[in-house]
Formats: sequence, C-alpha cells, structure tokens
Amino acid sequence: MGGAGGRGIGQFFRGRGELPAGTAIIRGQVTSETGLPVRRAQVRANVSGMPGGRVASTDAEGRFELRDLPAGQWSLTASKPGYVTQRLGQRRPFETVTPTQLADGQRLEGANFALLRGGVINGRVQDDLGDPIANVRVRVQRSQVFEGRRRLVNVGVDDETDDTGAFRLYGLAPGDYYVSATLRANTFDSSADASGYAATYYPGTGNVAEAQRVSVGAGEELTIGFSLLPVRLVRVSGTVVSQSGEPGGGAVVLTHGIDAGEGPPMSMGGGIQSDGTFTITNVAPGSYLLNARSAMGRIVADGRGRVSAARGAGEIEMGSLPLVVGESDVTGVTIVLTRGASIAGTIVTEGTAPITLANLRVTARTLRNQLGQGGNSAQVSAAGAFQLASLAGTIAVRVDNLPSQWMVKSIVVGSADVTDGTLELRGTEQLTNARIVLTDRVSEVNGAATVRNQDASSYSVLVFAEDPALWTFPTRYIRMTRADAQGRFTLRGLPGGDPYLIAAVDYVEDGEWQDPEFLERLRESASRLTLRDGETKTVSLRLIER
Amino acid sequence: MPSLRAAVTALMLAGLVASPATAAQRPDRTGPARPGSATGAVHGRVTGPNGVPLRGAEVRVRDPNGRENRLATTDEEGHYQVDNLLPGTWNVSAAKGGYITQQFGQRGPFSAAQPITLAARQRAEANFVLRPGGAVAGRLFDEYGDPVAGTRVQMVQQRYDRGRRQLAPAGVGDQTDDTGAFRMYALPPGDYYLAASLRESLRERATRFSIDYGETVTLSLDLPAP
Repeated sequence: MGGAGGRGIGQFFRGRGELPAGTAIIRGQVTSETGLPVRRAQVRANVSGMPGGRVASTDAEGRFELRDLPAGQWSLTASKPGYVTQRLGQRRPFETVTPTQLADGQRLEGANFALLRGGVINGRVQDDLGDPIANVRVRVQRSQVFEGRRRLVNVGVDDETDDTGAFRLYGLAPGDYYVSATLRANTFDSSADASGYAATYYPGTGNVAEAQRVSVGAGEELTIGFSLLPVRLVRVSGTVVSQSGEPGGGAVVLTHGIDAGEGPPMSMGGGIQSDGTFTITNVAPGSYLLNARSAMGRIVADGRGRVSAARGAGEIEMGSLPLVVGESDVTGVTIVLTRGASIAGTIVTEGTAPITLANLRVTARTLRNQLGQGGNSAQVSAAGAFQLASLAGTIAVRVDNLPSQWMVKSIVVGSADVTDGTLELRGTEQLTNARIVLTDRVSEVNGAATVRNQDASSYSVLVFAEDPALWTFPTRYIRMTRADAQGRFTLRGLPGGDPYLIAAVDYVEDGEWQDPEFLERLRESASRLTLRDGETKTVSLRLIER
Repeated sequence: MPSLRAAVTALMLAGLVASPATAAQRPDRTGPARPGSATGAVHGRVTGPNGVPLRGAEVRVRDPNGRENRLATTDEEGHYQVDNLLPGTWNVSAAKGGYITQQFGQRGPFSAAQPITLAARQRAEANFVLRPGGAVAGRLFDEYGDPVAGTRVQMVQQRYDRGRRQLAPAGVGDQTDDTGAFRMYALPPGDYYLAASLRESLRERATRFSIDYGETVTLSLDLPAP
C-alpha cells in the first residue's frame, strides 16, 4: 500500500474551492468542555458570499491556524466525531450566531471552541418478524420553526444498518429527536410482488404525529430498537401534457415529508417518456405532491446521475398535483405542464442616498411544498426594471444585495401588497405591474444590555411587533441580531409606526426567533419601543437569562 | 447543520438520479407487459446452506441492457415469483444481508453467471443456496491510542488481471464510528488486506488476514505516527 500518499495529497488539495488568497489569520484552540485539548478536530471556515472555504486540523495541543484569509464575514465550525459540532461564538447547541468580521491583514487570536461530548442513540432495526435488516438508512431529525412553520429538520447525523441490523448515531447535541428508518428505495428495481417497507419512525409508525421523541443528554448513550412497517408498494403512472405541445422529456418526482404530520422525508421519481407517459414504482401509501418539469423535450444527464434541465431555447415547463396513494396502483394521472406565472415590474427609490440599482436582485422565493421549484431570482436593470419567470405556488418577494442605507418600503404586485405577505400563483398569469419602493429613511435601534448591574456581552436582541398579526412569514416586523464584541447591538430597517417589543436574551436557538410561542413567552419581560421611519433610538436593556 | 433547503435539494436530486438517464429513448416496455401478451415468469426458492428457507431475501431479475429491473422478496418458505417477463434473456440474482450475493448459475463467488433464456409463456425455475459470508469487525486507533472516527476502511484483494497481480477493492467498505469501530460483512472467503487511511495526515496502514464462510474476524488496527 506504500506510495499511495502522493495521490492522496493531490486529492486533498483539490476540493478547496476558488477562495482568493488574503492576508488575515485566525488562530485558536479546540478543547473538550472539561478543558482537555481535542486533537485532530476539524475546523472549517467559510466566508459569506464566496465559494469554497478553508479547513484546518488541530495539532496535539488542540491548536489550529488558518492563514491567507481574504477579508469578509467568516463563520467557523469545529467538529470531531463523537462531539457536538460547534460554531464559533456558540455557547449552547443550536444557538444562532453571527459571522465574525475579518479585515485585511487582521490576526484574530483566541478563536476557541469547547466541544460538548455528544449523545449517542444506538440500536437495531428489524423486520415485522424480528429478523435484522441490513442497509436501512437511519436518520435523526429535530423539530424547528423554519420560514414561520414548525417542521422536522435533518440534524445531519445518520447511519446505515449492518448485517445485524445495528446502527449507531453519535455526536448528538442534548435535545429531543425523531429517529426514522428507510430501506433504500431503489426506483431502478420495479417491485414484482409489491411487498416492501414504509419509511418508519421510532417506535414503529409511518406518521410523525405518532412518533415518539427520543431525549438525549450530553454524552448519554441510549439504545432503541424498532421494526419497519411492512406495506404494499404500488405504482403511479400517467401522462404529462405539455401546454406548448412539445414532446416529452423531463422528469416527475413524488415527494412527501415536508410538513410535520407526514412520514419521513422522501422522494422518488422517474423519467417522462417520449409519448409523455411516466411510471413511478415502489410507492408506499401516503399523501404526496407529484411534481413534473420538462425542458422543452430536452433533459440533460451527464452519465454520473446528475440530471439538469436544459435551459435556453425555451422556458422550463412545470406542474404539480397533490396525490393520495392507497393500497392499489394509481393510473391515469394527468399533469398539465405550464410555463408558470411571471412577474415584471420596476424598483423605484425614495431618497437621496447613493444606490446602484443594477447591483440589486429581486428574488421570488417559493414556499411550502414546491420541491425543486425553489423560486427564481432576477437581476435588476440600471433603470430598475426586473422580470421573474417560471413561478408557481406560494411565493414571497424580496430584494437582495440592498446597501445598508436603504430598505424596502413596499412591494406591490397588481393590487396585492406583498411587502409582508405571500402571493398565490396558480396558472400562467403574467403580472406586469409590480412596484417595489425603496426608501433611505431607515430606522435604527442600537444600545447595550446589562445583567446584574454589569455590562452584558455576547447576547441576542430581538425586536418584534407587539401585534402577533404581523408575525406571519415573511415579515419585516421580527428582527434579531447578536451583540458585537463590545457588547453593543445595532438593528436597522424596522418599518416605522407600529409599536414594537424589544428584549435582550442570553441565547436564542436556530429558528426560535420565528416561533410565535417563543415570542409570546418573551412578551412579558420585553420592553416597549416605538420607531418612526428614519428615526434612530438608543436603548439600554436588562438581559433576560433563560 | 445543513439547511432544510439543502436537504430538500438533495432529496430532489436523489429522486432524479433514480430516473433513468435514457428515459427519452427507452422503448415502451416498462411495467408489466400487457395482458394477453406471451410473457413468462421466473420463480424459485432461496435457502441457506443447510436447506433452511431464507425469508426476506431479495431476488432481482434484470435484462442484460439494464432497462428492466424487477425485484421480488422471498416469503416465509423462501419462495419468490416474478411474472410478466417478456421472452428473452434475463439475469437473476439473490441477496440477503450477511449472505454472499449470488448470480444464477454461479458456482463460486467469482465464477461466471448464467443468464436464463425465457421462451413465450415459459415458467423458469431458479433456486439459490446462499452461503453466509465472512465478516470483519474491529476498531481503528491512532498513535495516541485515541479511536479514529469517521474514517473509511476498505477490504482489498489481490486479483489477476491480464496476467498481472493487482490490488482491487472488495465490498463496499465502512466508515468508523465515534468509538473507531467498523464492520464489513457478506465477504466471500479468501485472503484480504484491510486498509485504512487518515486523509488529513496522509497515513495508511494495511493488515492481511484470511476469512472463511460465516467466519467473523475481529481485529484492531493502529495507525502509525506521522
């Protein structure tokens, strides 16, 4: 096996991405919570807005150094198998942190991590008669609010059972988890006898509402076992009808598990034949969303399983259909593909601060179930014009790359004000009168917090409208930030007029600040705040310790 | 933690990956053949070496061009049946976790398979006797005696290819867990090397052992100091 090292070096340095070389340095140490150095931990550094990143490995004292870094907003993560992965600045698992600003030539010392020993869930997966099943993918999820809705989010810890049905899930942060098991559904295999297994949640249900949460403490090891649910697998077949009359090509994908209340997340698919027909095999009973998309008769596959739709000659057509699958084959499904809706409009500015409209992008983000139709983004012209195409479903419009002296005042599409709301697009509507107003009358609230008569550091500040009706996603009326290294915070761009509540909290978990229940709990200890457009206020807050 | 969006994208891709790349050119022969057409069937039984029926074994029937791929699972008696197969040549294989996967007609783990040629309305019988493979389980440690986690271990075998001895990976390998533990199974008997490499320090260590049907070899591997 000697001599393989040279090949290894080449491989190691190739996957680095295209990060430009800079002059800043970050140094630090990774220890366990008890203060012992963690050797060979991996420290990953990513800078916002640039591809690639840097990786360093800790030495025998747990120390690391990242050199030649370009200036920017850096996020650092330290990981070591068996420990809970930690982001720099995070004092508790799942805590939201903000990136670290690094200037050219800066040497940032003391980027230290204290890793918590992770919890372990191990166990066995068996079939309905108690025989172990190999090659079952076991996943861990946790419940989190995302885009204003509570749903299950993958934790990023999974394993595949061996021949004894055994799995081991490790490095888990203390918390409550859902564990699911899926026997790899290979759609190349068309089931000949319709027998199979449903994706199953511990302790043995296909429905997350009946799933039992598994609570894991730091460093705790739990053993669970469960059986996969046998089900009858069926096939779903039908025809895709293209509005443009182009022949088939493209793909259909059946998905579920986006909403809490459904089974574990999964998707399966098939190609669309030249005559427009499709067949998806090995489908377990449940409710799904069937998505289809064409690329004007062209679908590009590179031979390694990567499939992309060919854009260019025409717009991609798409369609989707909710589908409830029972215990028998579903045939004759018809999906009509359309080019979707489009929105054209202009951005206008109210104010005198400098702005280059051509640097902005308008993004229509698709919410809810529309897998693979995550929305579209369009460059704005120098005159402020933009055009968004191929839209379907529930969308939220936002403006990206806004300079800090500017904020969105209003977004109106047709007669609908979607500044803090969504738009339902169901057909091929061509909306041409969208108007986005930007203003340089940007409000600001800044200040500091105290705890037990001392200045507080590293805390989070939440500002949210007093009226819960303004909390529905997407909204400008809920904002969160972290205090800087000096213990001060600044939040800009809250709409003026409506009364707000403001609170300084020692830590906030990912997604928690969008959770209405969490905001309600904060209501009593929060302070009132009023802001007019363009007004700057400085406040002093008392830290709320959770 | 990966974002939900990323997870969702991955799911989407997984779905697309499963769709045949040649979908557009595929002749219309997916799914069961139409009723009344002259189709045949493959059926049989899967047992262990002592004749005990193997339940839950997966039998795959594929056409040599890879266009059709039908999967059946054996019942309590080890029986399976795949209907609605067009006349022609079919490759049949049987697999079960811990057992060595077998192609129909194979005499040994590396010998040639024998496809079944199915005539119209023929019911061909294909029985399998699966043998339990060997397993190798162990732990990987570094020079400090710490378990090495998250590292790939791979079985490697010497094979002769065009008269030259070459090292070739055998089986799918495994990744060590947080205790440094790994387990690889369903291995045909033979002589193997177990190889582990620590990517960030570019160190490798291999050890040689042999394995027999149904045998489990336990070993621990220490990576050398840099």
